Order: sequence, then C-alpha cells, then structure tokens
Amino acid sequence: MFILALAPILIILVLMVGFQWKASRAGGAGYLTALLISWVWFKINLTTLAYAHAKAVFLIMDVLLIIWTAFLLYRVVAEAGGIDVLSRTMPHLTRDKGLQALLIGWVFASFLQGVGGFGVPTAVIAPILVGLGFSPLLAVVLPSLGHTWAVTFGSLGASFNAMMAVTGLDWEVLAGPAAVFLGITGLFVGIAVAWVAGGKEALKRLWLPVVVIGLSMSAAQYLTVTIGLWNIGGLMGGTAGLIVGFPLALVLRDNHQPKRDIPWRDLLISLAGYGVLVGLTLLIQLVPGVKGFLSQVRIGFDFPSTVTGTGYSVPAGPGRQLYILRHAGMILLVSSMAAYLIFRSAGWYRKGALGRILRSTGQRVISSSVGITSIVMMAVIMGHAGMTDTLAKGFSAAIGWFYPAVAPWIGALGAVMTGSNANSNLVFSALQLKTAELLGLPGALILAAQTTGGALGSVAAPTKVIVGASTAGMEGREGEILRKLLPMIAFLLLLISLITFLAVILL
Amino acid sequence: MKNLLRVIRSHPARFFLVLFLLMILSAVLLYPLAASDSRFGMGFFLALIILANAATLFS
Repeated sequence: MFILALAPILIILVLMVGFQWKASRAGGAGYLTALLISWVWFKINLTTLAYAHAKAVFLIMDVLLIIWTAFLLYRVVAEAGGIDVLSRTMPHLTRDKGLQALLIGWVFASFLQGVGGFGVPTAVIAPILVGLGFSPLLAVVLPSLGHTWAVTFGSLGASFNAMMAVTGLDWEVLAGPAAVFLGITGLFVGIAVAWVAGGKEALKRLWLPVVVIGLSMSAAQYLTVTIGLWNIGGLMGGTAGLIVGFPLALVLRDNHQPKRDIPWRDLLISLAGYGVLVGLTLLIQLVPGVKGFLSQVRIGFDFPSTVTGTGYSVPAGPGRQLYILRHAGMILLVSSMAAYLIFRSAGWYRKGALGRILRSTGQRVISSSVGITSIVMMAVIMGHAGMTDTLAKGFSAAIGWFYPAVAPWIGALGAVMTGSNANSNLVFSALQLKTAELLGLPGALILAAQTTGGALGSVAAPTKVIVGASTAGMEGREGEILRKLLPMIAFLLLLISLITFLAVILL
Repeated sequence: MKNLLRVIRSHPARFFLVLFLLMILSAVLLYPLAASDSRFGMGFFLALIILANAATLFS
C-alpha cells in the first residue's frame, strides 16, 4: 500500500525529470494515477471524491489568485520600463566586483524574487552581470544562488500560501520558524555569493557588508512575516537589503571611481507600485477595524465528514475560506491598477501597453495554473483516500528519530522535480505534517524545513537552470551551471538539516 | 464541434484556459451534487474533470 500511495508522486517526478514533461502535463498524469489508485485500492467512494474536488477548488483559487496578480504587477512595472531603471542603476554604485556580486546577485536578486519570482531574478540579472564583465557561468550562478532564501516569502508569498492552504495551519504557527530557517539560509547565501564571486580573498574583504546586509534582510523578513504580513515578507527583506546596500556601497566605493548621478526620481516612480502594495497591506493588517470590515465577504463551503471503504475518515469542517476583499490577490490587483495609473500619468507607457500586459500575463500563468489545479486535486484526493496517511506512517516507521534531518531534503527533492517551491509545498506539506504528527515532532519546524529545502531545491530545478542558461548565452551548458550550483545547495541543505535536528531536540 | 475544437487547439493559452475552466467549474458543481446525493451528476462532472486531466497529457 505504501508503494501504491507513493505512485502518483513518483509518476510526476519521473515524468518531469526523466521525460522533461511540463508541470501542466505531468500533473494531469499524477492526478489520474491518484484517482485510479484511490478508487481501486483505497476504496474511495463517489461522494468523498466529489467533496474532495470541491474542497480542492478553494485551495487552488487561494494559491492562484496570488500567482496571477503577482505576475500582473510585475508585468505592469516591467512594461513601463521600471525594472530596466532598477537594473541600470545598480551597476553605478560600485566598481568592486565582489560588492557588485553581492549587491546585484544577492540583494537585487532577492528584491526581484520578493516582487516577481517565476525565474525573473536570474533572467533579469544574468545579462546585467555579463555586461559588467562576469563570466556567463557566474552571471547565472550568482543570482540563482542569491535569491534562494527569498523564494518562500517571495512572489508575494505564493509558496508560503501554498503551504498554509494544504496543511490548514495559519501563518501564526508557520511564519516564525520558516522565517528563522530562511533568514539563517540568507546569511549563508551571502557568504556563498561572495565566495563564488571572488573566493577567500573576497570573503575576507566583504565579510562586513555580508553580515550587515544579511542580518538586515533576514530581520526585515522575519519582522514582516511574524506580524502577519507574510505576503510582503520577501519584498520587505529585499527592500531592506537595497536600503542598507545602497549607502554601504557609496561608503565603500573607492575615490577614483567616476561619480554618476543616480536617477532618484525614476527610481521612486519605478518602485511606486510596490509602495502602494506595502501601504495597502499595512493598512489592512495594522489599522483596527479595516481587516474586520473587509472580512465580511467570505467565500467557502462547510464540508461533512467522509469515510472510505477501508474505513479511513476525514472529519467534518469548513474547507479553505476565501476572504476575497482582504485576500493578498485583491491587494495585488489594486496595487497593479494603481501602479498602471502612476506609470501612465508619468508617460512611461507606449501605445497598446495595457493589451500587452494582459496578454503576456494570461499567456504566462495559464499553463502553470492547469498544472497547479491537477496537483492540488491530486493532493486532496490522496488526503481523503488515506494515501497521505499511509505514506506518513511508512516514512515515520522507516526513518523515525532521524526524520527532522531528512525533511529539508524531501522539500528540495520536490522542488527540483516539480520546478518550484510552491509545487513542492503543495505536494509534500501535508505528508510532512502527518509524518511529524505521527512521530510526535513539532509540525511547524518540520514544515519550516520543508519550505526552506523547497526554496533551495527550486533553483536547481532543470526548468529554471535552462531559463537561466538561455539568458546568459549558455544554452546547452546547463551541466556546468549545475556542477557549480549543486555543492552550494547541498551545503546549505546540510546546514538546514542540522539546524532542524538541533531545533527539534532543544525546543 | 470540429470547428470549436480547432479554435480551442489553435492557441496553447486558449487550450489551457478551457481545461482550467472545465476542471474548476465542474469541481465547484460537485459540492451541491454531493450534498443532494445525485450520483449521475457527480459521475458526469467527475468524468469531465478526468477528461480535462487526460487532455493535458496531449498538450
């Protein structure tokens, strides 16, 4: 039964890795396998299947609303040339190659992950670094490594939201431990970026900026997500890095460097949309009464208990509830509209911009939406059929006390195979939580390990490596990128394994 | 019907949009059908979701 329960996940992994299928295609295969196995061997009945599918809809919409609108906001800014303004300004700050690697490959990459994600950091930064004289290999590796720690709370919190959706746990439980694990990872990512860029010499010279910027970004992300603003955690972390990194670079730059004017007005306009996003999020979360008022519109169903033919039951209860007016997706939509109006009144758009924004957003998100729909439906069917429970029992019996050290590797494996931290969280979070419960381990810590592992693994996903390679003119040389990236990712995963293990023992 | 299929298949984004809507709308309808224990209705819309997922294999 364990092998049967594992089969849908294995099918997805094998098809995506072995046969290079997209998530939208492999997800369909995983769904059909889960449906067949749950029906024939786990004796799920028609009514349970119907309720499982209806429950999945709210999880799917919760995740997709953020993904759609986050990409929309990114496109609104990119179409106006806002990302170009940021990209042109960063290299003016310093001539020091090591500091450039830190500011652009780590800080700016983290900021871009906070606001966009979807492979944007490497795609935007690799050409900039090549233009500054970095080798194409380093130009891909530096931003790939640099934004890892910001993946979970980046993309406006899409991956974190996916984890909350499938586990049913609130941000109060999950955000703190995840932010601590990712914050520690962030500091070590800075060290790794300096090391990759200039070896021991760069590390010795740049340890102070690494520590100052790393602590600022990690602290900003931690403080933001632990007061409930998890959807802007990555954005605030990246912004803190820019706020600290800009003056630090100006202080550290040598006197012979030609001074160039920084276009402050253009920079402010470029960031206006994200300013609106931060302002609205703060308003809703922190001003008394606003959240309560917006919470009046709620979409969701109450679900009865279900029992399969094998006797596995899921208790009655409300499914995922969508508070549509205060949903992160709604805040992003309003921010996108505000940003559009700001750019339009500043005259930054060419004719037909709105059409291009909507078309590119739709084309970019629709195929991944189908993949996410299939994978979430698969995960919910597995949960209702008792397949996730069977897997969790199998893992807890086989791995036992050592499980905390294995949890981040499961997250990483899921991300490498499925191409994203969000997909890994959708597939594995419920399983990790169940296993933790069976072993009597703190679920929040195991899930923090899951999502940190997922964030680290996502940058080594073949799809992301291929995109990164193509932006730096390294098509066909993806193996070189992986050979450089994998030892760093493996080291960071070992570190998280150790931290998880110690945290479980000590806390 | 043939023309409709040709229009849907002519653009990948359009094809995925149709599959997505088919899956989501059918899954939403399964809730009232399950509550009223309509076995035919549940079977029909479940079959649509299965078909949509099967169609992704040929995307």
